[in-house]
Amino acid sequence: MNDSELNDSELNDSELLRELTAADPVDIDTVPGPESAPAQLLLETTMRSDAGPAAVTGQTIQNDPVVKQMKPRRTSFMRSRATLASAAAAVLLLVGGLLVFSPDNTPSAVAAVHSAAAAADSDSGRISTTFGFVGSHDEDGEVSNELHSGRFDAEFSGSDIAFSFQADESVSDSGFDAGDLPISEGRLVDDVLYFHDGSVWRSIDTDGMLGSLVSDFVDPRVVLEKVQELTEAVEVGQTTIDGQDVTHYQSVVDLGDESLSQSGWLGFEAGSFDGEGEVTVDMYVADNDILARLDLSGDVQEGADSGTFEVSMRFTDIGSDITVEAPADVVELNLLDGLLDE
Amino acid sequence: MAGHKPGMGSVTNLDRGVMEQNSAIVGSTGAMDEALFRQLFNATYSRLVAYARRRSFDSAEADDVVAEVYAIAWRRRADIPTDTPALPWLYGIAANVLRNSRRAGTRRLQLVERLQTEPTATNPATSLDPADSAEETDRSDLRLALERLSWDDQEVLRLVTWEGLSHAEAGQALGCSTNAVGIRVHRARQRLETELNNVRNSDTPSERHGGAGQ
Repeated sequence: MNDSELNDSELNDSELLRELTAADPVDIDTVPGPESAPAQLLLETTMRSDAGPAAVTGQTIQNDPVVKQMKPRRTSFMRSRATLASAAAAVLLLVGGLLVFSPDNTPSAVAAVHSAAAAADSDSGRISTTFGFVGSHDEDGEVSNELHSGRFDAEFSGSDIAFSFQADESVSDSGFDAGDLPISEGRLVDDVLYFHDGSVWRSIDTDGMLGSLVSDFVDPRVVLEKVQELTEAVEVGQTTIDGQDVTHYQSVVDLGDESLSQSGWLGFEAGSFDGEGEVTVDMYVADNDILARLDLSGDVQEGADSGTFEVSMRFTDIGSDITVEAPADVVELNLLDGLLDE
Repeated sequence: MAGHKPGMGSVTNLDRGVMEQNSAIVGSTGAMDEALFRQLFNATYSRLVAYARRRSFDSAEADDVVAEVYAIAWRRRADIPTDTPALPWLYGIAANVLRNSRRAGTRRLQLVERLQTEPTATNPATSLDPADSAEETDRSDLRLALERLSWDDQEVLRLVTWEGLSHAEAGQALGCSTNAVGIRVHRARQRLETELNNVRNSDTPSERHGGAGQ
C-alpha cells in the first residue's frame, strides 16, 4: 500500500470507524473509579503480593532432585484408547496446572521467566518433549502398576500444528499401552485434524467445540501460558544447554497447598484433585531471553494412586518460518461413526 | 498517517489526559515505588476496566483481567515506560492476558459473546422508539461484524476507536510501528466493512450469528 493509497483510504476509514466508536458497548461513566472499594482493595492486595526485590536474597533453593520413587496417578484419561490426546499431552496439561502454584518468590526471576515464556509463546516454533512416569493404582485392594515413557514433538505456525507421538516404553497391568494410542502423527490445519493411524491419513473437521479441545491437547504452547501465570521463582545460576548459555530458574511446588484442591487445574481430573506431593519446575532462559527448556519432575499422591513423573520440553526455532500443510490422500472420518463404535 | 485519529471525540481527550498524567507520574522520577504505582493505578484504573469489559464476556472475567494486569505491572514495575504513556503498555499486557485466557476457551467465549450480542428479552436490542431501534440495530450489526474479525483486526480497531488511542499509542500497545498501525487499521476496516455487509445481508438471527451449531 503506497502513501497516496493510504491517504485516500483515510477518508473512507473515518466514517466507519466513527460509527464503530459510537458502537462502544461500555459507557465509561458507568465504570467504577479507582476510589471505589474493590479498586482500593485490588491496589492494596497487588502491592502486597511480594516483598519487593529484597526478597530475592535468603531464598532457599531446593536443588536436590526430587526423589523419583513413584508412580503416576492412573486416570480414566490414560486408559482411554479412544481419546485423541497422547499421554504426553496429558502430562502437559498436568504440568500446566502445577505451574500456577509455587511457594518461592523472587520478583525479578518471575519477571524473567514470564518474559521468556511469552517470547517462546510465539506464532511459530518447535517444541520437543520427552516424558516418563511410573505409577500405581490401588483399586479395592488390587494394585496395578504402570510405566510409560516417550516423546511428543510439535511444530506450529499460528493455530496450525504438526505433531508426533512416540511411546518408547509402556508397561501396564491395567492393559493400557501408550503404544496402542490411535495416533502416532497428526496435524491440525485450518480446524481440520489429520492423523495417521498407521496405514492412512484420516481427517476430522474439528470446527466447533471439538476444535478447542483438540487444540488444547496438541498445542504444547498451553504450558507456556501457565509459565506466564507463575507467581514465584528463583534464579539458580548459569549453565549451558546444547552449547547455549542459559540462565536457570527454579520453582518448587508444594501440592499440599489447600488452594490446589480448589483450583480445577490439576490435569485431566480437573477440579477433583485432593492429593499431595511436590514438583520441581526448572526453567532455562537463553541469552535472547527466550525460554530454551522447561523441566518438571515430581511426586504426586492422591488417595490410592501415586506416581512420579519427569517432563522435559525443549523450545527451538521460535519465530522461524514454519509451514504446516495438510497431508495428501486423506480419508475423511465421520466422527459420529467413531462415537457409535464406542 | 502518524497521529491520524478517526472519530475519537471526547474519548480521545480523556485518554490523552490520563496518558499525560501517567507520563508525568512515571517520568518524574523514573522509578516506580509504591506511591508512584498508586498514582499510576488511580490514573489508569477506569480506563483499564473499560478496556477489559469491552473484551470480556462478563464483569467477573474483566475484573480478573484487570487484577492480573496490575499484578504483572507491579512485578514488572521496573519496566514501566518512563518516556511514553503507560496506558498503552498496560493495554499490551492486558491483551496478552486476554489472549492467553481465550486460547483455552475461545469457542466457549465466542458462543457467549454471540449470545450477548443476540437480542434477548433481558437484553433487548430495540427500544420503543423506531429511530433508536434502527440506530441500535446498526450498532449491534457493527459489533457483530467486528466480532467476526481475527483477534488482531479486532484489537487494532478497538484500540483506535473504543480506547481512543492514536496510531503511535496503538503501536506501543501492539508492539509495532505507527505506520504499521495505519496499514493494519486500513486493512481491518476493509474486512470490517465486508463482514458488516455480510451481517446486513443475512436474513435470520442464526445466519447473522454464524449459523446454528457453531
